[in-house]
Amino acid sequence: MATGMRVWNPDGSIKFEVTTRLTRLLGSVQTGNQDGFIDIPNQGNQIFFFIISIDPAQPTRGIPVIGISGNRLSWTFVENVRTACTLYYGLW
Amino acid sequence: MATGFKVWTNNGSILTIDESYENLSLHSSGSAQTSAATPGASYGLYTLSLSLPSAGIPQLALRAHDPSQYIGIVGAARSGGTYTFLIRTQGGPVAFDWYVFTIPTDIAPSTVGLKVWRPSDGRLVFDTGMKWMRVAGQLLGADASVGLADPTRTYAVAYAAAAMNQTRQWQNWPETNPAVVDQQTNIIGARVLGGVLSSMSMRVDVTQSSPGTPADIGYISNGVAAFLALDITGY
Repeated sequence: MATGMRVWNPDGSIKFEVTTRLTRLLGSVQTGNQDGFIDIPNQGNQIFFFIISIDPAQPTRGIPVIGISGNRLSWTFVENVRTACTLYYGLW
Repeated sequence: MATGFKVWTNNGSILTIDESYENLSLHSSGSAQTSAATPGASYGLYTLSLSLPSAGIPQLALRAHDPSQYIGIVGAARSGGTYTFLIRTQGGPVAFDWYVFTIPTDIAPSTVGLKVWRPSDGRLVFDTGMKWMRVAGQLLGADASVGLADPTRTYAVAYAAAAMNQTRQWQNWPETNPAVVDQQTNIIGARVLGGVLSSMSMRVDVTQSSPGTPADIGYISNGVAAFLALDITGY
């Protein structure tokens, strides 16, 4: 490890280490039942990721297709049945 | 940055852990095994039920003991504080480990290490004793792959978006007795093998004559399959 941070347990084993990347959640967006997108602020060399959360009370049919282009996260409904989702997004 | 610290890293970036830091951390883990495949259902099946103390985001990650095996989920359901994940493998039985990450307020803090609290409400936002979700790669779609930066680490696959579809087609006139129905199901599974995150459409065809139609696996869905490779080294 040239640079970074390590935390050790009392027994000498490594408890925590970060040397290159750190995952963090940035926020969330409700898709509603219309196509849409959100632009993720550029954060240097970090890459963003997403997680779809569906209300378990909703049917799983009709969730949108998610696309990534540059810093844009978009969602497109392709069925007549449209199920709203929450999109969590973050960086790694 | 009102409170917290910064870390200068090997690749020249500066990582800031301050009062605005948010991430998921490991809540629980375990091992299980999908059922044996049968001629009528060539998936291995397993239903994982977990109790979580809040309605926070439960992020499930799976790792087959044999990393060459693909594993996927059909979906999740929630009843009160109990989450149920429907896990499928192509063939079976397949032994696997599971990991559930959720918001850190649901996890007991450690007694050793470094912590950061948010001044506005006193919430613990960072604790070096927690096993944080470490994303190492992302993959969209079926039958795709992406290389990960460090193949020496141990990875599990998290399901950012499950996708599957199921179609049924009459093979003769419905009025015909016996009626014949062909059911085709595609579930997208994923694996990390040799430092490569890859996905595959696990397809199962079932043809069945009346009375009855092929057993419905319970979900008819579409969308896009999306997977995260999570670094679980040491977890």
